[in-house]
Amino acid sequence: MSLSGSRCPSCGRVAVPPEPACLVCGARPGASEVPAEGAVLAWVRPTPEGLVVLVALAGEARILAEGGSPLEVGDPVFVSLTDGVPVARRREAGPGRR
Amino acid sequence: MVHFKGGAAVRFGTGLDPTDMVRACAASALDDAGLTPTDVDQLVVANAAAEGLAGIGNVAVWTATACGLVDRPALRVETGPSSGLAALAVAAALVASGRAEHVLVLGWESMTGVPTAEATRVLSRLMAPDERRLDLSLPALVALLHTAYQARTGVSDEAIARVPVKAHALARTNPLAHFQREITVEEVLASRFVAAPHRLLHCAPLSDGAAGLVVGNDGPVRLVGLGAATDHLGLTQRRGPPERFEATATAAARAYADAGWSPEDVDVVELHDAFAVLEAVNLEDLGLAPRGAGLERVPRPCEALTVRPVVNPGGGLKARGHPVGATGVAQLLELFDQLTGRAANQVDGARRGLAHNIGGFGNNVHVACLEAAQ
Repeated sequence: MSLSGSRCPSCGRVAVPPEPACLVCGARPGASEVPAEGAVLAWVRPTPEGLVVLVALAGEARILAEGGSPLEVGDPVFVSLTDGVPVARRREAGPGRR
Repeated sequence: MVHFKGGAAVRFGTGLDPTDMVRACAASALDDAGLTPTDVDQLVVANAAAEGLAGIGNVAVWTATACGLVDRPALRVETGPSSGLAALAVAAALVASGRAEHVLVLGWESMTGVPTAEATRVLSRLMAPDERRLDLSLPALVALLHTAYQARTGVSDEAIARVPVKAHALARTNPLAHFQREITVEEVLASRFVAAPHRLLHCAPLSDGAAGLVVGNDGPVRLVGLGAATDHLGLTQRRGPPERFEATATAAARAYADAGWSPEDVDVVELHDAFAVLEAVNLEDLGLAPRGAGLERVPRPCEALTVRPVVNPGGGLKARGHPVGATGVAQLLELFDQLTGRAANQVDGARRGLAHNIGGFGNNVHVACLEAAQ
């Protein structure tokens, strides 16, 4: 499973969603599929029912996602799109997966 | 050399009339500097969101009119909540270049004339599109930083709650503060969630207020260093630890270099504690505490004016109040009062002060170093 992103050919910056120009060096990035697995860096409950997490994906890309399950900092997650909205769900960490 | 000649502020609070507070503040600031309106060469206005919060446009001329400075050049500086220190940078350049002898820097904001939800919506315009798409607010973004900081350091909820307790204790004896009552750790931890784990008493209030300073080429306090830095607009665009503001560290390094200071030289610091956890984060980013140890140096209220560097002696944004365009100027005014020995909560022997003002969510940071001239 992967997410549509971009990779800068000059500095290697990976971003999700794709950046039209690299935010570090200004080069034009190419399309890149970024693995949808990552880890929770931070969380907030903006409403009593809601949960939003900041997720570190592969290549240091980051994404804000709704929490589809209870999550804490450091939890391994996978991110999918539901009606265009990123949703993070906990995944079991196996050997070599974190 | 750029100096501060004098200044004044109105008491921050709610329900203040914009025209009345701006007029009173400008008159008091000029009087304190020993000047009249005809002595002012330039008005520099710091204001973040008058269009959305007060229904006022053409802000520079509106302010000049309210202040009785209609024939003076006027401009408005807007970098969100760091507009006050950004306005100082403009004023300092005008004085240092010889293009102006006396500049009135006037920061103001009127935030309580609209419902809180509307004010929150207006302020959220400074956030990135992906943050707004998820209906996050600024308190919610800082709550993300809060959880990341707690995960890294293991600090307790009680330790973070001691920050607003100290701020309110100091503001109680500051006649210009929005809040003048003490609170307890228990009250902080029992206050309602704004964006969990962030609670109401972790947050600075929405305030009305105005603060003014006169900058010139002589005066009792010198501006010896300025530094500024930006960072990416959005949290997901950054790559550093989410519990830090890299722009603060960069701006501080530039200001220290400009002043020839190291962090150990600072007697008193006015830092941007709009939310409780930011006091720890800011102290670390400014080099005033080791990484992860920012909360270890939060003193008990009774020691808050003696542990160096003294932090936010007037109560900070949390309790003095946070009318965003006025905040940076109010920080500078607090330092001016400290360095001239006339502050309400005077720090004994204060000679050097540092102001730190954050715009946006950590992405437009200004730092200023001030020193007593005598």
